Amino acid sequence: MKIKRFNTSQIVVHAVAAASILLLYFTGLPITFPSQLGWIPAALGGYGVTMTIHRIAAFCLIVSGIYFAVNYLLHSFFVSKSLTTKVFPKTKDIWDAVNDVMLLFRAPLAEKQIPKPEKYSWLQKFEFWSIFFEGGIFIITGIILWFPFQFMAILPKDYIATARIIHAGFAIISICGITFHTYVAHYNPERFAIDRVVFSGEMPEEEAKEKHPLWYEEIKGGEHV
Amino acid sequence: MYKLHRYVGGLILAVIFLSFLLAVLGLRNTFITIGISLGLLLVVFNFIALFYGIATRGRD
Repeated sequence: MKIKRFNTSQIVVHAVAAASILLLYFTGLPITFPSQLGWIPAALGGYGVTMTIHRIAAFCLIVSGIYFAVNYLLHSFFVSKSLTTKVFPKTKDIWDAVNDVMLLFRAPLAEKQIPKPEKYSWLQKFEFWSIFFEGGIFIITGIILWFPFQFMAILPKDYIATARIIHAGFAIISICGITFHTYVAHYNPERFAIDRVVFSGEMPEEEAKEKHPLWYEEIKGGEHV
Repeated sequence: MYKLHRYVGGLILAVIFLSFLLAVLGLRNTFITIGISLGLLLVVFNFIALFYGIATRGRD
């Protein structure tokens, strides 16, 4: 038996945002490191074409981000607040993170200290919010770099150069997210080669019971499971 | 197997980050090219996985 975990909007936004982000890396890395990856723009037809693809992907990411935010807000106002509140960090998440790290170092924890995730674990919330804030920084600095002459009229020149450094610097930091995501969703021996939940929107009941026990209890109506 | 998985993952991560860091500092050598290419390889791997997931969505 399977349990509904993601709705159609979430599945579509994940697919569009993921494709956009990966395309942004694929075209952005050679722009930042031309001496190592200069063969990519050459294969794509030059830096002009690479920049155009980069901007189209950026536009798709912005649209999917706006759609996601509006969809969540409308859902919160007119349907249920639970969709939005489930992704907000809680004090429990901080303790879950601490205890998870302690488990990594094989610290003997009491039964009640062992993290029991709700619908989203502290790590999933961390990933969600890091993408949210990084995305915001990328969009702001990216728009400045997209229209440098317009911004030069209202901002000092140094700001444009700084925006470029921040944009490239955060791209390198966010590669960390891709590496982390690859290990969690693909190389994890329990899920190799792919975690299908985000595509089908459904999670096997056994997995929900094991990986998200508090969420499982909640959807079973609070009955003792 | 789990230990090997963890160590290989850590090693790849270290190579990628170190090479990006050195490239930002202006250094150019084979190690940096390999590290940056590994980062790109992860991006391509995720791309393939994404399209595979979308294409096989109804097969569960």
